[in-house]
Amino acid sequence: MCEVGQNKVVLTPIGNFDIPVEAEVISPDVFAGKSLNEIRELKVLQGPQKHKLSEFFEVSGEAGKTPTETTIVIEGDVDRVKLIGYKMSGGKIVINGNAGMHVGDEMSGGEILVSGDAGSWTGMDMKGGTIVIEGNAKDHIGCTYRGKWRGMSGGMIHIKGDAGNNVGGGITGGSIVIDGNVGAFCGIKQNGGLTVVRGDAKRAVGAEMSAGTIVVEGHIEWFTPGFELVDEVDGLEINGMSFEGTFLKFRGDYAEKSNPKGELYVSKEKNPEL
Amino acid sequence: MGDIIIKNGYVFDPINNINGEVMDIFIKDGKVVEEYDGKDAKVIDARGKTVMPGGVDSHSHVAGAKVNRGRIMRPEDHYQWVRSKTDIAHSGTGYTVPSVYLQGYEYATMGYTTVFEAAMPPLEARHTHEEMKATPIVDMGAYLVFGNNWFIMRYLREGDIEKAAAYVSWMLRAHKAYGIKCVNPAGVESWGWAKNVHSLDEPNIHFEITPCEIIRGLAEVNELLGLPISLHLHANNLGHPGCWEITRESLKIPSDLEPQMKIEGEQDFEKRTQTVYLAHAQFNAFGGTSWRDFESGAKGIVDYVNSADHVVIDNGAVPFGPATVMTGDGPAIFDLYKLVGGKWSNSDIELECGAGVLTFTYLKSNPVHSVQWAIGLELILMIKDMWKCILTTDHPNGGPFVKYPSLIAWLMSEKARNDTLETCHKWASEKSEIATIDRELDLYDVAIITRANPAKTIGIAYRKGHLGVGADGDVTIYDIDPTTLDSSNYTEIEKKFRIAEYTIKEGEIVAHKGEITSAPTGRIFYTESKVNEEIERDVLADVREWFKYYTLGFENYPVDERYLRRPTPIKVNMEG
Repeated sequence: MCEVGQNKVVLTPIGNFDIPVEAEVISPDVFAGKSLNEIRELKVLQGPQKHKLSEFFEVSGEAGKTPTETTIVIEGDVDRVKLIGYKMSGGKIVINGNAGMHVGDEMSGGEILVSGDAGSWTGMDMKGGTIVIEGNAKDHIGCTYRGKWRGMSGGMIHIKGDAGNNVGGGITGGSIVIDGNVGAFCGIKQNGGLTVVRGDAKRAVGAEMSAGTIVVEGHIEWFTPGFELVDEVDGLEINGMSFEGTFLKFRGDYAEKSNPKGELYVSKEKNPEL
Repeated sequence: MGDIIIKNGYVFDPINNINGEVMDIFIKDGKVVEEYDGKDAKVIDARGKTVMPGGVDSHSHVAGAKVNRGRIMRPEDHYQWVRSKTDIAHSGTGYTVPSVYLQGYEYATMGYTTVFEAAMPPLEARHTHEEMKATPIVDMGAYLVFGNNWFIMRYLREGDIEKAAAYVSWMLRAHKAYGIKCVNPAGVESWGWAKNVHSLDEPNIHFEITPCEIIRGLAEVNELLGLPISLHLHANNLGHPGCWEITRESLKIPSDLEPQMKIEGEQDFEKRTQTVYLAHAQFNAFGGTSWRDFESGAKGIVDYVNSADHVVIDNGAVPFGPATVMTGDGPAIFDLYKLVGGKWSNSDIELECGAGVLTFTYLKSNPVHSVQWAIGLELILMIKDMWKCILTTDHPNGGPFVKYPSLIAWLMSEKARNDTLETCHKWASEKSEIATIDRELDLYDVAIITRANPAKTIGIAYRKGHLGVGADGDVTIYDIDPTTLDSSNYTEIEKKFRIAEYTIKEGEIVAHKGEITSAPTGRIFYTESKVNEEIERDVLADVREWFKYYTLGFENYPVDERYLRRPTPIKVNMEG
């Protein structure tokens, strides 16, 4: 159990989460300066019904005066709770368990740490701050909303396990690092920023990208056709991250536009067929 | 329908020449009546507030296939703009292309009670009516698209104006439409073969008819039938630098026609005086010869409008921000798509017309967009007679209708314009006259361009757009005290027009301070005209013959009244 102290609010899940709960109020920006009772009275949505936060969480501790001075610790799985850390600008959220969908949507600062797995849409359209997931993550990590073409513009998402499809869709800045494998359409419509896959990728990496950088250290099962080999480099240094080995450097996606500036680095050793 | 008395407000009712007088308005059974004791009526004290007739939007894209295409294309337009369900109102989402429910609520919240869909393709009439049926509160109607219709082009080519009139008459009745819309005449038919027409005398493909002939023919048909609204024109070359010139020449075409309105049972009311109503003039008032020397062409349009008595325009202004561009002018949308990219959709509507849809954002940092913003305002501020112009954004082409309050603020406040000029691209002041204009509209002017004149222009001022006895009991109360109104405090003006204190529809309070308080069903207006039966029979034989080119059966073509809510036919020209 986490120690309850100053500037720290502890939420322990106690409610019935059979229908997902939308809890964008769980954010240092909302909690800061509020008393415990005020925090308990905050409203969350379950389906169309409004409920008090205290119907789903036991609330203890004490919030800081400002968002940056506030830490929120969630003790347990909240994979049926959406939008934790929505638009947060500072402070810290620690989830000791699995997180639900839309963690850290549109956040601009601060830190979110998840000890378990994360749901889809983690860090959607984020502008700044850091999200670290110790486990695996589902689809649309750091990806912009459906139909939108310009998303995440800053900050950092680090998934220590695997991630699903559409990692980094439409990002224009910031960086996403996946230590494990990813599904299809990683870096789709990427417009800037950095996407790193330390493991393998399925297909359509960088499809429709027009700018930004993608690094794949593992094997790409089906390579995207709209890319052109431009160079071969030994060792990489990007945004303070270094990558060992020989990389094939591609430019694309020529299927998207005639002079694309997207850069795709792929491990030569792991992709002998390229 | 309710009984309500609105006491002590400052009333702005331009059709009845009432300019800010303190008056009481009496409504009984949903209609404005003479003073009565009103023991059982609800009383609203509007002391220190502004009272206007319910707003009338004469040009908006709110129902039908292309609007829905916009909704489908744009999930990103919906997820951040939501209204929750209440006991009496549905939930709804969408900013530039809101869901049908939300459209009704947002209009009511803003003080609008009547909205006309500006372009209904005949083949999509059923879909359009189904959406209008589901739109709460507001009274509605739709203009039928004719400018590239095969039958019209054929009859006008043959010089058979009577057959053309009989066809229009039958089509309005069959599709329950209100008036004639003409979009890029002759050009959209050529677009079926990836071509367009670029001058008024350029014949199109196959039918070999020119825009000039179509505009002239439809305007004549319009007055022959005596329709409530005049020809509603979306001129050629829309959205291209230098298009103001062809627009002015188009407006000249029906200058010698006499406006004829033959509405049965309605004699003494403010009749329309125009024979052409130009749609979204901003998009047709581009100057320059290319995007490099692009400039405002508003002056050319304004000079003509100021000198002519047969023209009304709506400005189709650009308030900056997200928009969804949608029009029956498929080639114009394609050209824009080639210019800016984004998500694009195009469709061909068989023997009738076409449509294009594109996602768009107007940026203050963009030189062309900044000039477009200026043009939209010039087209009202430089027109001397407010009875020649109407405020619109050509929703959602210039921007969503929820931005009307921002436009009202720019029109009422020089400071608002100057502050925006400082934050937008310098082309706005360098390539238009907006920076030199010091005119500020007053509440009377605003009442003209947002309710009185739209109602007059579309020929419905016998019941809409004013508060005289016999008018519909549609009233808006804004929390604006005209005696202390300060035009430099424009954010306040914007706020007050965005959320009406009260919106009253047929004597019932439908919105109060942003909350929907009741959601009655509005009427659908359509025109029922009558022509010589023999000619109509001949025309129907022609229609049946060419129906082999349609993908549906003739019997399934007309839309019957079951698809309409509170169908309200307007009978015209019943002498035949």
